[in-house]
Amino acid sequence: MTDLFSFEPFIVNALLAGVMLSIVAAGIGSLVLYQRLSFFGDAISHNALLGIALGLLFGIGSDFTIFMVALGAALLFFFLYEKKVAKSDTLLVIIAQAGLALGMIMVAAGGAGSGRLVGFLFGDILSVTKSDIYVVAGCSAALIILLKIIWNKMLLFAFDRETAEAEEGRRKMLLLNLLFILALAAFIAVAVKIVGVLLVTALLIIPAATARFFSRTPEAMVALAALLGALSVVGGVFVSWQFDFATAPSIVVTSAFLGFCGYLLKNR
Amino acid sequence: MKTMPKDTLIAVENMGKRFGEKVVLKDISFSIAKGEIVTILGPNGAGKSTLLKVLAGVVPPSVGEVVRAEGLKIGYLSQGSGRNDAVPMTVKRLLLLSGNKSESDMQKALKLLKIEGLINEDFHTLSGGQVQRALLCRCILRGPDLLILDEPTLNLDFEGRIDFYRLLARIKKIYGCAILIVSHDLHLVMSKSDKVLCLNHHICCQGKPESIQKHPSYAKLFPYAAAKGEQDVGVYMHHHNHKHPLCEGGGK
Repeated sequence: MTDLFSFEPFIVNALLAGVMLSIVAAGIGSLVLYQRLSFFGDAISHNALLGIALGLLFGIGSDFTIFMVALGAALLFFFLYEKKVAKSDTLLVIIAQAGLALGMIMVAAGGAGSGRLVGFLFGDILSVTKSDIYVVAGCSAALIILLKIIWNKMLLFAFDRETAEAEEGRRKMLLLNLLFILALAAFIAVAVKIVGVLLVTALLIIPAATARFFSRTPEAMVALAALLGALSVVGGVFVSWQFDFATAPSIVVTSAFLGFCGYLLKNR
Repeated sequence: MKTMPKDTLIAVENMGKRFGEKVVLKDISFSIAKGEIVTILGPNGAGKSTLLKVLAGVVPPSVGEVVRAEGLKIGYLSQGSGRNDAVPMTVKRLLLLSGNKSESDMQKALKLLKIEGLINEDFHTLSGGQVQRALLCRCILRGPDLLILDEPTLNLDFEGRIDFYRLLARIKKIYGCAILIVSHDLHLVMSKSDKVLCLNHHICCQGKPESIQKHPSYAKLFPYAAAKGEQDVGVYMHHHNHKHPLCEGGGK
């Protein structure tokens, strides 16, 4: 039992990074849910692997390349969608799978073995360093400020798109949406290192969806989602530490378990 | 485009809108002045909602342009507005979506709309009529110069409709805004209008309500209503000339 409470520094780092990300994820995830963009978030996060591969190939920081690729994937989707190439769900699957597949090939071409590939796919929260913490803290603060600026208008847009466009103008709403996509891409770039390409949207969606059961206002939902996200991180890290499970999947499963409990509590 | 007269809030000249090959609006020219109530009539599929969307700035015109007075504030109530229940929302939070409003301003507007008891209600559990009022309340709290309302009485019964039009008249009186409204309630809404526009992809006729009902295009668009026209005009034109015994308790 002594194991349980003797926190190693890497556990502290993991918890800090995870909790900070949960707070940002609550705001971004709520907006993603409001706009019914869950699959969109998933599709662009799959492309993060391509970003990692490009970072390896060119020997530059993968945060930046992930951000650029995520943004590129998002813009590509909007371009194809506006051109009516296919329906949105079809396009999203194509973009997600093509990006993921291309990423896998290029990660191998970049000289990374399959062990590292697994790390990219499922994250490596236990290897978070002190400098990673600073990056996460800085990005989280910047994202929270950005979200605060666009929050009210984006809420109105999600609630009633035409009213938002009539009151604020179409051009301004387009700009705000672009800022939101930027925030989403930045979040994915930072979070992928910690929870991995495949699980990053879980961090965005599950706590927010659980919080929706009990919320009457958007702000209450964000607060509750942040709390649930943080609980999932703490619970997930604890479970993985105790039972020697992979950490990121443990966090996601804990989060889903909380969601299930939330559903039961709501419908009892 | 020419500069607008000082009192004009919004104007279009030879405006058109196409969706692909389909021409929805053609050669639309008209303007709305401060404090005017303008009614748009037209059969289903005539392009009424599209016209409102173009004026509200939700949809760009294909031809021509929409000229707005500088700093024009529009309140727009679309047909399908405010039903995304993915967003948790109370009536109070909805009102605050238009920026920070003082408690007393909110109470005043809620009272005018007779929904002061709903302030803490979950928006998504409101009835159709309450939804309209809550959304309209938010619109007027922003202090718009022009309210654009797309068939706001669609889901209301007859009594509800009359009530709603009375409410609009009060809103206009208190807030001084112009109102552009699409409605099928020909005679209910016409009597309160300064201007009526008959739309069937183009403007068939426009003018004062009295003159519109005698216009041949109006008769063509609404043969049934026009045939009854004389009588129904009477309902609003002569209501102070004599008493209706059945309506005023004479039948007791």
